[in-house]
Amino acid sequence: MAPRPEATVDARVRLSAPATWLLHHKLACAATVSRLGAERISTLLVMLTIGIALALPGLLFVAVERVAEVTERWDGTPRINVFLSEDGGAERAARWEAMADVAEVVYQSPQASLDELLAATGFGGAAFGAAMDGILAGFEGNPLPAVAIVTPTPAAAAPARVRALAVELQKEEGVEGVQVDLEWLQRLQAGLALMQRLTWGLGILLAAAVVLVVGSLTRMAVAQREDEIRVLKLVGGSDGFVLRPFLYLGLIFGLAGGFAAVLLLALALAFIGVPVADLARSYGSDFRLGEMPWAVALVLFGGGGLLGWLAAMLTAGRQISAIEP
Amino acid sequence: MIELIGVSKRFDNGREALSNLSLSLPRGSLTFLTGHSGAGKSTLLKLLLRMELPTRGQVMVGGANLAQMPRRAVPRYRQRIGVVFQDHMLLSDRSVFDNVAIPLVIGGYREADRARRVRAALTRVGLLDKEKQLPTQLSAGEQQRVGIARAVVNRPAVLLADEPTGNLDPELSREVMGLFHLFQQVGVTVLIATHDLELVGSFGDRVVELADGRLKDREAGDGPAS
Ligand SMILES: Nc1ncnc2c1ncn2[C@@H]1O[C@H](COP(=O)(O)OP(=O)(O)OP(=O)(O)O)[C@@H](O)[C@H]1O
Ligand SMILES: [Mg+2]
Repeated sequence: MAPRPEATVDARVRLSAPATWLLHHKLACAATVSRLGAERISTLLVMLTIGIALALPGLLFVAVERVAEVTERWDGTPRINVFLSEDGGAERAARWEAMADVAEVVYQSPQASLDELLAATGFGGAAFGAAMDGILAGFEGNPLPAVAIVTPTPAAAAPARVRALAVELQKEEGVEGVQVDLEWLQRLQAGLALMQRLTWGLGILLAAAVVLVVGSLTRMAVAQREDEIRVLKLVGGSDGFVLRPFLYLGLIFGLAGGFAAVLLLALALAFIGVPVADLARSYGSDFRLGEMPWAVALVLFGGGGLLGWLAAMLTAGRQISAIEP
Repeated sequence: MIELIGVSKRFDNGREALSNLSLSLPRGSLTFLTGHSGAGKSTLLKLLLRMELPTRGQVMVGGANLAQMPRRAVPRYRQRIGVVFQDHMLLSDRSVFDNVAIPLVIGGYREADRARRVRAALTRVGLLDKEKQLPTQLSAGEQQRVGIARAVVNRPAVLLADEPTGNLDPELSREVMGLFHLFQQVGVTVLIATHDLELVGSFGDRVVELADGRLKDREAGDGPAS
């Protein structure tokens, strides 16, 4: 076989396989960017649609995680309030400190309890003092019992151990009642677990929605450019070469949507952050939604890009290999 | 270079476009493919481009059997085939330059070489001054010439042309034919399907005539025989 005319100059003018691959990526990306640049409005709308779909589970995730974080800190110090029936409780209570699971016992006399109640309800001021006196006059003396506030050791802080300790304290002499500060926490944690699952569920649903949106957009783009695809295949373009601009279409939609989601989430956190903090303060908590966690921003941005790429791959990939010139 | 052995092509609708066709085109030959409309000329070119597979028989190009070529090997095969289509098939949203450059981009040519080769090809078809225009801004004949420039730009081993002079005046037609002969002289195997019998007659090349998908071979002048 005679040498082909181009064989002698091949090496000098043609790029290596990886360099060709890079060149194809560069050109495909540039072509897609300029195509999208020519349709700014619709690109922006797609970006916002994806952004909203991703920001929603993002916001929920941040809120739930923050609440979980705060309750976890409470988790370490559950308390048992033991109500004592008669005098001499202080000494009896002090002996409980010797119990294995008990770290500390603080005795609170009925008068101290009353003072605390007055302070907490705001009835301690001069204006309400008279009214409160009137209410209390209906009782014989101080209606509040003496309380021993029992703090378990950290090792015994698990809800089950605390409950067992409470049962044991209940059996002690002179104990009228035991209140474990745990039920609401368990309820909150159950609620949080539910919210976490809901967040994941919603996140998966909306991620699927993003895949569907980007998928149908790339499907439309491929259908619109079927003639071009045919020509490219006829002059030797591989499926991968033809597919690449559409992959970039999906990727850019996804990344832009993820970016929009980050912006929307930051905006939402700033917007509802103040009222949430006010609300928490009214419950005596210093809870804050806080700023956008970087990890969440990264997941939204990267996840958006990944979903877009995947959507384009799944739809356009099959579509393009089915186009026979 | 091109070898057809007992090739038949029957389309899904039962129409047999080619019947038991055997043909051999040596490397560096230039052959005209003529015949009435519907004779099967385009079908034959489609088989050579592997746009269609033969129902029976073998199609060999450069030693490769097209019927057995795996799908993923087809793009690389097509990169070595230059093709001018009956309906030139240009990308309407890319400039003349970018259209001609496509095979070079696919082949991974360096940017400087792409520009040089595209301009050389455009110069050959007399359209260098139109490189920035869109195909839709060109006349039909000019579009045809852009198609020819794209077909030859990466110096393929085989050049297939379906009615390449369909929209050209006699003078331009002769120029384009001169171009095809130039490629033949450097070793390219050229196959041109055309109705233009006057054009065919004015060169001393081999002419293969099809009639209803069958061969009506007739040698014209002193062209290379099979
Ligand atoms: N995809 C197809 N499906 C069914 N029949 C087809 C198909 N393509 C071509 N044919 C038929 O095959 C026959 C040969 O067609 P072909 O296009 O090869 O003719 P041709 O010689 O190129 O004609 P022309 O000179 O008009 O271009 C015609 O009768 C045509 O109707
Ligand atoms: Mg035809």
